[in-house]
Amino acid sequence: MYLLNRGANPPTPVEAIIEPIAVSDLKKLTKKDFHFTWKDFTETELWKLRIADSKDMLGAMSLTYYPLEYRIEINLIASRSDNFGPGKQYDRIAGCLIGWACRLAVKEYGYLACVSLKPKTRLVKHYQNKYGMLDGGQQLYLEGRPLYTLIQTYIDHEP
Amino acid sequence: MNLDAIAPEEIVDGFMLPAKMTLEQKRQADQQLAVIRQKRLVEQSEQEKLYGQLLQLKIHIEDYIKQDTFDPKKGFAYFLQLYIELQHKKKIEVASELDIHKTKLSQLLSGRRAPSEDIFIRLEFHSNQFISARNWFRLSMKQQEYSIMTNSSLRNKEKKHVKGHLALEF
Repeated sequence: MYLLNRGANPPTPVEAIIEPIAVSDLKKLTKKDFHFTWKDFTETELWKLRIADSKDMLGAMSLTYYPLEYRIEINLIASRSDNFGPGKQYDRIAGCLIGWACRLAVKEYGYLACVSLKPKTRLVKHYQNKYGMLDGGQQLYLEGRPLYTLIQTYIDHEP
Repeated sequence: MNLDAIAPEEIVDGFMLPAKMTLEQKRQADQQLAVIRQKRLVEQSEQEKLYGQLLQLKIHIEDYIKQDTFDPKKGFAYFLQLYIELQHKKKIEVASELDIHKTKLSQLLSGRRAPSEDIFIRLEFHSNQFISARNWFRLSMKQQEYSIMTNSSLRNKEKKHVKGHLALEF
């Protein structure tokens, strides 16, 4: 799994790691750095993304499992505030985290796996275009081929 | 920083911003999704199901290899059994496809026979390169590593053959 370092010329891939958020990480998940009040999500499953040779979190994700529906819902994904917007250093942060959620879903639910999200309306078509998400009525979802493709693109693919 | 002021294309590369919904709206959205998915699942092809099952097995193997611990129930044979089961084929059929005798396959599945390099490579080709020979090999190595660490009768037997040893003082 890799991010694309846009700070380099030409942009170069950098190995990335996703791992569970430890209790000691919680104090670093400030609203200033990660845009949201993450304390509200401590009851959910939390994951962080970092580059392999740094301990600093670059992204965070909150998930909720719905085993009866073979589904994992992405509640929230945020990049660190200094890696954001047109001047950001790393690309692919959300893609890797969404791909990770897909991988977790397949590990848990096999061919029935589903990942869903309820994004802001103005972003819906952009998530669909970028990640191949399907229209689930009032939310977006991934299952079957589009879900497997995201795992291939963001988790398994080697640059 | 105001996220609403950022271009949507930039937002979706780094964020999943949730819509504001009441609990009742969320419940309705989930019900709606369940209905849509039910229709799609019925239409899912056998090939798509098999792909999902194989991917699940591949992920289990990858994660198990990375684990520090070894579960004696989860050796090479355990994962080979899962690999064969998800294809809904008879063992004799799989043995034929791998060009090995059915007895050899039975021995591999019972753990009475350790797999050799040719088996790892044939399994890789059999899975259409989906599960690599390297990962089949690593599974087998994990089992061997556990055996070396825990086989006390072998350790006692081999110790007798060692006629001298390094004198190390700390």
